[in-house]
Parts: sequence; structure tokens; C-alpha cells
Amino acid sequence: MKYLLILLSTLFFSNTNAQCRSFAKENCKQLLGNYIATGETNTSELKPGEKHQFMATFYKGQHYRVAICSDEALGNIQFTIRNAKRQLYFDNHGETITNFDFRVATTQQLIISLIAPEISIEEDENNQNKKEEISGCVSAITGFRL
Amino acid sequence: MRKITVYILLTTIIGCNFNDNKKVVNEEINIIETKINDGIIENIYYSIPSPIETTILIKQGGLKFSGELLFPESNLKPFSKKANAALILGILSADLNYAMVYEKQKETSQLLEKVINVAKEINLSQVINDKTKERIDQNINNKDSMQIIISDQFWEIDNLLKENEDHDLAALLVTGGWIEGIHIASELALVDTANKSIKEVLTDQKIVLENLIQLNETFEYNDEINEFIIIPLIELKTIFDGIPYPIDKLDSTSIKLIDNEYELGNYLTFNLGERDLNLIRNKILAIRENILIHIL
Repeated sequence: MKYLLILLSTLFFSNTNAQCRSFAKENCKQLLGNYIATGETNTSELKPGEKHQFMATFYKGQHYRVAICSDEALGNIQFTIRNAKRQLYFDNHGETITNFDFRVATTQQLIISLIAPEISIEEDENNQNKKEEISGCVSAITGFRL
Repeated sequence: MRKITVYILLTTIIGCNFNDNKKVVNEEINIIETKINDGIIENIYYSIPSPIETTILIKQGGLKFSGELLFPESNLKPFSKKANAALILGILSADLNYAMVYEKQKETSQLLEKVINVAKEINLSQVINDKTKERIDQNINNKDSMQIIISDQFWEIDNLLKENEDHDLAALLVTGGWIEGIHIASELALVDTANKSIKEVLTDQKIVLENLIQLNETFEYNDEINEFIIIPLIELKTIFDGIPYPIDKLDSTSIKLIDNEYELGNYLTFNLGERDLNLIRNKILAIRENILIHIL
């Protein structure tokens, strides 16, 4: 029984990871509109309350869009952009805003964070299991304008 | 939940002249702080921009095309190691971007053929193949379409490598592209010594190289890649470390709204001296030589 559970959970996670692999291409890329992908795409699988962060370089003189997408199960993702000193430039505060257009005065690295909100479920044993089962893909994609 | 207040400095610029009629608005926004503490970086991933961005910046800087700077190998033999193929694919992709941005049709066509052949060796034929060539041939006179197709192709290659869990190959692809981009930029900087923009492009690579090294540190490569690529890149970083980058002067309170687009941060300047430029150029030439002798 124990081995069956391990096998099932392995299959579950393999499937979830496989879904996330093509997640950006299928769900996020179109959010770039007429911006061209810079190649700086990041995808991860998150559970409620977890965070994915990556650091990307943005050149002075270019016009950028950072777009995010996520599985509905995760709710509205909080999306922030900070500079290398971790000072906040942009925060969607978990609202439905999924992209941000900008340029930088000086070429710099920016830290892009995607945070899955905590989900409020009543704290009994069954619900705790449900909460642990919730997970989904998140992606952030960056593009520049020609 | 606790309420916090954020002050955003919005500078609205009226009219086309950025120096005139600036209206500064201090806007107070009340936001709700979530339970999640976003102040500490636990795990961070590193991304490197595709070489097409550097190439576009080089062209915007008014520099000319030089075919002599392209990777010299004309007969690419099959690679015994996928890692080596990924590195070379990155180099050829950067050259392809360079030729394409400058609308050099002959070079674009030749390089595309090489890129398709090397891509086959690391199972990328489903995203770059003869159909790609047909699409490019049909749009050869439309620069914008070409740039979109080739940028998309680079994204598709990177994406497929990651989908296949070949993250190490994806990292080497961008490493190869970066090396070639720096090679082109540093050689052009020597030709046009008065051009400030090319020096800016090169100086900017200081922070890209930091990310590139961090990215590569997460993988275990074969001895050739380590000895002839990664170690020299770390040595190159020490040259870039000598260029002052005043991170402490970065200021997030400067957010300006210009032509309906936010401009983040303040203006900082860096100085790339002739000595540093020569050191960078020589190191990149040595890495390219390593590739020709040991990786091909």
C-alpha cells in the first residue's frame, strides 16, 4: 500500500511538472502582444503561499513588458518587480493585472517575484489535505518592443 | 492584515521635450500588505537576455556590420557531446541575429542552415527545421517579420530545451550567444573608438555576466566546457569587477511616466576605459580560440 501511494504521488507530480513545462508557451506567450520574447521566461510549480523569483537583465533604451500567467486553482498571483537593492518598483497587490510595461533609466537587474496567495480553508483534517493537494503552474515572460 | 503606505513619485512630462514643463506628482496609495514576507530572497533563478537584444542595441548605436567577425568555422562536424553542440548553437544563433538585424541576406541564409544542422544534434528539429527556413526565405525582405521569426525561434529553442529538462544545454546556449555578442561588440568598439553607445553596451554586460556565471554554477559540465569556457568566463568577470557599478545609487523612488510608459530608476553612468576594453576583448578572443581548438 505504501509503495502504491509513493508510485501514485510520483505519477501525480510527474504529470504536474509535465504540464508546467509547456505552460508558458500555451498560456503566457500571447500576453506579450507585439513585444518579442527576450528569452527570459521562468516557469514553476507553486502551492498556496509559495513564491517563485528570478532575476533578469533589462537594458537602457529598450521598451519592455513583463507578463505573468498562472493556473486558476492558485487564485490571483501577487506579482512584484524590485531592483537589485530589493526596492519595490511595481506590485499588483494580487489584483488581476497580469502585465507591466516599462523601460529602465539605467541597465539593471530586476527581481521578478510571483507569489501564490494563501488559501483560506477551514482547518479540519480533510480540508488540510485538500489544501496540500492544491498546486499549479506560474510563468513570467519578458518581451521587448522593436 | 496591516495597512502600509507607499509613496510613488510620478513625473508627468507634458509635450515632447523631456526637459520642459515637468509636473511632479506625489501620489499616496494605500495598499494591503499580504501575509507573505517578500523581503528576503530564498531561491532565485537567473535569466539571460537573448543575443538579439544586444545586436539591436549595437545597430541602434550606429555601428556597421562586419562579416569578418562571424564565427569562422564553415564545416561543422557532428559533435560527440551535446553540451558542445549547445554552446556552438548559441554562437551561431548570435551570428544569425547579427546578420539578420543588418539585413545581410546571404549570411543570414548560410547561418540559418548551420543553425538547423546543429539544432538537429540536440533534438531541436521540431522547432527549427526546413519549414523555418521557408518562412524566413518568404520574409527575407521584411526586416520586422524576420526579427520576430528569429527571436521567436530562439525562444522556442530555449523553451523546448527546458521542457525536455535539458536546463544545462539551455544555459550553454545562452552562454554561447553571450560570448559571441561580446566578441562582436568589443571588436566593433575598437573600430569606432568614439562611439559611446557600444561602450555602454559592453559595460552593461558586467551585470549580465554575473547572472551568467550564477546560472552556470548550478550545472555540472564536461571537463572541456569547464576548463575552456566556464573558468575563463570567471576570469573575465574579474576584469568586469574592476568597472565601478554604483549599485548603492540605484533608487526605486524614481518612477517617471513618460509617453504612457513608466521609466524605472535613476540615471547612472559607468566608465569603460581603453585598458578595460582591451582586456575584455583579449579574453573573449582567447575563449573563442578555445572553442575553435577544443570544443569543435
